[in-house]
Amino acid sequence: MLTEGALRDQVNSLFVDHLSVDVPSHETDLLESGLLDSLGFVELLVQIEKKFGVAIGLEDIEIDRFRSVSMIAACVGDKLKGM
Amino acid sequence: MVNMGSNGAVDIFTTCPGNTSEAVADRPGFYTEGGPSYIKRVIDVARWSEECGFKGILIYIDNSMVDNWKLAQMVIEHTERLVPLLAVQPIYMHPYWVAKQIATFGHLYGRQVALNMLAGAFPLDLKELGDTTPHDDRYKRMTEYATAIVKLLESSSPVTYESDYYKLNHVKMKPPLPKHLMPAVLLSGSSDAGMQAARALGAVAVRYPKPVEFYEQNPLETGIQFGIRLGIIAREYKEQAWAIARARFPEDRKGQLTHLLAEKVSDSVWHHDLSGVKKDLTEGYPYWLGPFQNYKTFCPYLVGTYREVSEIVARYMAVGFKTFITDILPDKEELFHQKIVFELALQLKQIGQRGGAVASEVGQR
Repeated sequence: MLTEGALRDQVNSLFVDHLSVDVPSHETDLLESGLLDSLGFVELLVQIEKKFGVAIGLEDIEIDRFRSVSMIAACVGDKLKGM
Repeated sequence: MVNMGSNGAVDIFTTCPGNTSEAVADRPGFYTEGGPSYIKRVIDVARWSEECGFKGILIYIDNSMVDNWKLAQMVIEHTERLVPLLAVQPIYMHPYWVAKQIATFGHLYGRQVALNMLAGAFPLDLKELGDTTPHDDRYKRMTEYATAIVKLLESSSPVTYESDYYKLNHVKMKPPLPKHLMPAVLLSGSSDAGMQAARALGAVAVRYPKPVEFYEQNPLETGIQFGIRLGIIAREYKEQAWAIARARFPEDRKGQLTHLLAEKVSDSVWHHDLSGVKKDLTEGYPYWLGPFQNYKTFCPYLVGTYREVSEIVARYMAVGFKTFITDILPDKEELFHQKIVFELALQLKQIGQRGGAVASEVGQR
């Protein structure tokens, strides 16, 4: 099981590698800063599924849970624990 | 041949190919490149639609798409009677200018257009333009907007109109629009606010339909005209139709996630209604939500043999839907298959009506 820190790093790498977004910090508000728009959000979900082998459902798509890299990592961690 | 476009029973429209600068997901019938190839596509679909006897052609609009009034002009210039059905969003243009464009088409080309009023189904689109008007207020605004347009076009005297959202002060539309070119008004909306708007405007309420059984068990409201948007893939053999359908709309995880996101952020009643249609109703049954669930289109699709699809279309007609708007066509051949379906459906409807009349006559004897 990945550590929280490792999860955050892997989520951050998704932004760099697949969204071409350089996130200043793991706590940066991705929505307020405009770093994550609707197109990017969908791509992020696709990459999370591929990277971590999880399936995103309607109940997972709470915009506030994707506000920062840390929050996304926490969300992914919860999904992995539930598997 | 049954004349579908003007037989007085139903009005049938096709849909214009879309052009967008971004693709949220690959969507059949949408193109990202502009220029001569897209223009030719629009003109071709318009000509095919007219050739096959359809009444008109829906031309979408949203923030990602090209100006649909320009496309309407292209349609008018390359057809003889096809009616552009223009999606109109109140926040894009003052109602005076909408009326002006309609009057201009009438004056320059002697041609009619129709209006598909949108209250706004994409909250993100509205937010981008600084509009946070709540759902029901958007319908109120749309009603006032359409009212202003109709008043400007139908009045030969100067118009004064004051509502919560719009004011017109003794303004006369020039050039005047001949009465026979007055636009039909349709609106998209399944909610209570949408129905209220349809009643107030005398508009056709267009919806993405549930399976026809729902309407056979829950009759449509009286006093309003209703229409539906749907896709049709029909062939001689069921397996053939489904093979085409699945090839045209393959499973797409990105599309499915986009659909989930849209479900989450949309405040549209129809979106939630369709998303809630039970899966077991759609498996193998001619009514198919695969394209909707993969974010390829918003229409339910009817897939099957000519006979089974036309029987369902006839049933939609029988419960009261009088306007049909089909999804974007992939090619001319598909239009001919749809034409077969509608011609069969109209024949079935007429047979059903004659049977009902005979039964009624027999019952009276």
